[in-house]
Amino acid sequence: MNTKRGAMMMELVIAMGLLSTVFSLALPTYVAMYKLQARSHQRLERLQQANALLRRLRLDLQSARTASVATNQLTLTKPDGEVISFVHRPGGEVKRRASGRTTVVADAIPKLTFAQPTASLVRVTVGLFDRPRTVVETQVALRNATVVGRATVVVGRASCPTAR
Amino acid sequence: MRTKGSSLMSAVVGLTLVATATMWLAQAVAASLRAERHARERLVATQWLAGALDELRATGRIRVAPPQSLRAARLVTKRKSAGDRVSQVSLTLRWREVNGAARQAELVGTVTAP
Repeated sequence: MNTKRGAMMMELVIAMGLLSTVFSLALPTYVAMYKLQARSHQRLERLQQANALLRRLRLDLQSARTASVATNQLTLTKPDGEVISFVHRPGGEVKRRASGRTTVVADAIPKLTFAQPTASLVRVTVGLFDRPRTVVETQVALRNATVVGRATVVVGRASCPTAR
Repeated sequence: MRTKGSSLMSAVVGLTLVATATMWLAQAVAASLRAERHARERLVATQWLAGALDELRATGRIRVAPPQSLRAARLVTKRKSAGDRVSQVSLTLRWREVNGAARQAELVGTVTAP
């Protein structure tokens, strides 16, 4: 009787020891995976914010007559005289001001810059992540601008020699 | 003998449980990372194409280089139809995924001569 009890106790101790070893080895993997998934969700949310911001910018730019560009600020004038401005703050916040009302259109955009290659074209660059380096770049033509581009349409192949 | 057999059985059951849980978790993480990569590439490609079409409309040329964050990205432009003033143009951006698989995004638009 005593021998059987001792054997069961030993059995339980060995089983518990083996299981705890297995779980303690697996735990760091679970934590790492959980963190990776959480980061992935955060990045997806940032991508969605960037998409919504660029859609808003495109709509406003297309309806504008003139655009004035600073590094992190864009001011647009519509044909009816309404002024719309976008400002990017260092914390990642992007504010849109129109008709005296200010709204936050995004709050997790690390980099946002504006440039104006031609009078009727505004280039928007959104820097999202460092690794892998992700930059979303787009250009919007002001449809109501008085400046009209050239008529030539170049059709052919273009490649990027520096792309990996 | 009995002790050894039962402990071994417990270890096998435990290991099977841990392996199954790890496999499920790994699949979920891989799917999440894949979704993120696809969303990132799609956003970069579609925004770049929209910008290229607007540049073509505004200046008659596409000068901006294909996005650096897409592997081996290249642009193929085709004139689908041409009228007196309005041309229909198709812009296709092709690139490769990390595993080498080819991907592409296409944008068709009209370009009007002034």
